[in-house]
Amino acid sequence: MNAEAKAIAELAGVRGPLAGTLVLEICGEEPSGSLGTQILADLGATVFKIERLPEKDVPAFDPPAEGKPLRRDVAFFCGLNRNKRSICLDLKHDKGRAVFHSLARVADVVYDNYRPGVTARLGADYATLKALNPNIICCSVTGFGHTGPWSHLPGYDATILALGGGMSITSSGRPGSPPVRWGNPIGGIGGALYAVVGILAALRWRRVGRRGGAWLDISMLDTQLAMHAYRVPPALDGKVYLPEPRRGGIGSVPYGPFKCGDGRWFVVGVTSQFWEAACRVLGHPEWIDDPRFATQEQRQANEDLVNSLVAEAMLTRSSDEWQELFVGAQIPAGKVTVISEAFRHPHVALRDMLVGFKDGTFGDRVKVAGDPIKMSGYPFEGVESPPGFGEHTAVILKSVLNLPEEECARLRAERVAWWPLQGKVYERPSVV
Amino acid sequence: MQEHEPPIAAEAQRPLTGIRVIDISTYIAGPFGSDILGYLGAEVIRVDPPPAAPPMPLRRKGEPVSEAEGRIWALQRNKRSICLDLKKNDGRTVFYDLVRKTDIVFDNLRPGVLERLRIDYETLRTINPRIICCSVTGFGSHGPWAKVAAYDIAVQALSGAMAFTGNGDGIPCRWGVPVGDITASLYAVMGVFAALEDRDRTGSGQRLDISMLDCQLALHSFRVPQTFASGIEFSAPSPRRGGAGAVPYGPFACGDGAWVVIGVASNFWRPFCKAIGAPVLADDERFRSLESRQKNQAELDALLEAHFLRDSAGSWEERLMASGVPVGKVRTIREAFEQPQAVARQMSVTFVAPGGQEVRTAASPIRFAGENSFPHIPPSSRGADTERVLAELLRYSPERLRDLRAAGAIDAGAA
Repeated sequence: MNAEAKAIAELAGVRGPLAGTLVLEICGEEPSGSLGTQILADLGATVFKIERLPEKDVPAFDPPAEGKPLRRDVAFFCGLNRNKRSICLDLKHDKGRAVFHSLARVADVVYDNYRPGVTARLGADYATLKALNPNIICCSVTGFGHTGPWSHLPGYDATILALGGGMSITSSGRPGSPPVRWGNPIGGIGGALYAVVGILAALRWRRVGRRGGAWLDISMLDTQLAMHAYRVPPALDGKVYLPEPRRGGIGSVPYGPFKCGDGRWFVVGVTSQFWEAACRVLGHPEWIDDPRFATQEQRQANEDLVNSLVAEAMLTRSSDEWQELFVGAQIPAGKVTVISEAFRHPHVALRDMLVGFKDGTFGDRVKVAGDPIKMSGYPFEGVESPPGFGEHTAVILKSVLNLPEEECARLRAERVAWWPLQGKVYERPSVV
Repeated sequence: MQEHEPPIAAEAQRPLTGIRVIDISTYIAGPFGSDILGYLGAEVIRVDPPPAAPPMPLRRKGEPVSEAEGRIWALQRNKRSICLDLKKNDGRTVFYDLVRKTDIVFDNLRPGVLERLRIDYETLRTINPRIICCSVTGFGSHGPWAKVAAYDIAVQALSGAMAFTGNGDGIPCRWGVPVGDITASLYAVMGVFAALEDRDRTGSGQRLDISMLDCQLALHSFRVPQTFASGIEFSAPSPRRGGAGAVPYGPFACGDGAWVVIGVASNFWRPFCKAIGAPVLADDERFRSLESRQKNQAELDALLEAHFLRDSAGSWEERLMASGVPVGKVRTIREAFEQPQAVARQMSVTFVAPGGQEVRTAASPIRFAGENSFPHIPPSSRGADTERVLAELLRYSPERLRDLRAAGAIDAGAA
C-alpha cells in the first residue's frame, strides 16, 4: 500500500468492509446527501466532506454545560455526519479546484446533491472528473434526475411526495382531510438509500467487471415511484388507491390506529392468521365465529362495524397493557410512541441503536441513532463525533496530497482552503 | 488477513453477474430487496414450500390486474422459482447442495425458524464457509422481542414516526407506502454488497441481522440528537410547515377538488407571490420575512386557502413550475407514473403476460447515466424452475428428480 492509500485508509472513522474507499461529499446539508455518505462512512469508507469557506473567521464551539440543550443546528449536524472528515475548499477559486481535482484523482466516489449544472460550474461533474480519473464513480442525487423536462426544477420533500403518489394514499381518513406527507423526509431519504445501493453496485462492478467508473443519476421522484412496488401493476391498470388508515396493504381489517383508555394511540395489524388470537386478546372470543367477521372478506364488507367495535374494546385498557397483551399473543401491534420513548424499546440498547460518540467534543452526552446494518464480522466499536468545520483540512492537504507545510499555509492565506487556528468549530454557513 | 483474488468475471454485464442468491423471503420486506439484487445481475432462486402453482394464468382483455397478481409481477420478477420442502430431510439435502453453489441466502423468516429448519448461518457456514446469510426480521435476531412478528404498521408506530405524521387533527398516520418493509430491504441490500466486498478480501462470509425497527430508528437521523441533546420532542405533525420552518408549505385544496403541495423557502417567496398572481403579498409587512410569515402563519394560510380555490391544481402547478418554484399536485399512483418527467425517465417496465395482455411494473431508480437500463425478467410461476435448476445447477439425474418428487421433497408442478 502506498503512503497516500495508507493515509486515506487511516482517515476512516471506523473499521468496515469499505476500508480504503475514498468518498468526496459535495452536498448541501439535506439528508439526500449527508445521510447517504454517512452510511458509507459507517461501512468503513473514508469520507471527506468538502465544505465552503466561512466568510470570516468563526468562533470555536463552546459545548453547552452538562444538562443544557445543544443548539438545534449542531444537533442536526451530529445526526448526519458522524465518522466523516471535513475539509474547507473554495471550489470557485482555481487553486481550490486544483486541490479538489488532486483529491478526485485518488478518490473512488464523488457524491453530490446539487441541481443539475451546479457541479459542472464547480468543475466537479462526471465529464471533468472522468478525464482526471477514469475510474471515478460520481453519484448525483436530485429531485427529478438529470434528464427529462423537469430536471431543472427544484424539489422539496413535500412536493416530491405529492408528485410521487405517496401522499394520495396517506391521510387520517376523516372526510375532506388533507393528504399527509410522511413526518420523516422520505423523499431525500429514499434518494440517499438508493444512491448508496447504486454506489455499492458501481464499486463492485468496477472491481469485478474490470470496467471504469460510472455516473449514477438518482432522482428522488424515481425512488418514490419505485417504492410503490406491488401497487404499481393494479394502479397502472386502473385501480385507484386511496388512503386506508385502518386497512392493511394487502386488505387486512382491522389494521390501523385505535385510541386506548389512557388517551394514547395503539396500532394493530390483524391479518387473517391473527384474527382469532386478536379476538381473544380484545376480550371478545365470540367475534371469532360471528358470520359478520369470520373471514377477511366479511371483515372488509363490515369494515366500519369491525373498527367501531375494536375501537370500543381498545378503550378498556391502557396502551401499555395492550402492548403487553398483543406481544404475549404474538400479534403484530405497537404503541404510537414519540422518538424519546421509541429509543427506550427493550431492543434498542441491546442492538446499539442509541449511541454516544466515543471521542471528544460531544462524547456520550449527544446521542445518535446506531447503524442498522449489523454484520457479524464487524461488532460495534463506537462512532466518531462529526467533524468540526474544516477540522481535517490541514491533515488532508499534508498526508493525502503530500503538500508541504508552507504550501498549506499559503492556501489558507489566499483563502483557497481554511481551517480553524484553535479549537473545533461547529458554526457552518449552510446548516439548516 | 489472507488476500484473495476477486473472482474472475471479465465482462460482467451487471454489477452482480456471477452471484447466486437463494431467496426464502415472503411478503414485502424480503422480496423487495431480492428484486433489487436480481435486477443488478444476481441469479436469484426463490425457494417456496410445495405445492407448485399452475403456470401463470392467461390474462384476458379487460380483466383488471388483481392485488395478488400485482405482488407477483412486482416482487417476484427477476427471480427463478423452485419448490422445496425444507421440513423433509431430502428437501434439506437439496437445499444444502444449493448452498454449496450459492453466495447469499436471503430470508425474512422469524428468528428461530432457520434454526428449526437447520438452515441457519452456523449450520450453513460448515457447508460453505463463503456463504453470506442475510436475515430481515421485525426486531432482530436476539433480545426479548426477537420472536415477535412485526408488520410495517407496527414498526412505523413503535419507531416514533407516526407520532409526527398526520393532518394535525390528532390522529396519527402511517405513511401509505410500507416504508418499514421497504427501507429494511434497502439496508439489507447494502449489507449484502458490503459483505461481498468483505468476502473478496477475507475469503469468508458472514451473517447480516437486519431489523425493521432498527432501520426505522436509523431514519430519524437528525431528529435523534435533536431529541436527546436539544430536548425537542417530535410529537405534533406540522403539515403546513417545512422541516427547516418554511412557510407557506404543504397541501392546499384547489378549485377542482384536487390538492397542490407547495414548499416556499425564503428564496422562493417573491417568485411564488408573482406566479400565483398576488405580487402585493411579497412586500406585505405581515409576510415579508420568514419570521413574519411564521408569526402570521394562520392569516397567510387562510389567505392562500381562499386563493388556491380560484383555479385548478393543474393550473397552479403549471404556473409555479414555470417560475421554478417547488410545487406538486397530489397525484394518484397512476398519475405519478404518467406525468411527463416519469415518462421521460422510463419509470415503468412492461411485461407481456400469457395471453398477450400487458402488465406494467415500476422500473429501477438506479440509473447509470448514459448507459442502458438492464432488462427485467418476468416472474416464474411458483415452482416452475424446480427441475431445470436442479438438473442444470446440481446435475441431478432424471431418476433423482423423480425420486425427490415421489418423496414430496420437491414439486415442479404439472409437467
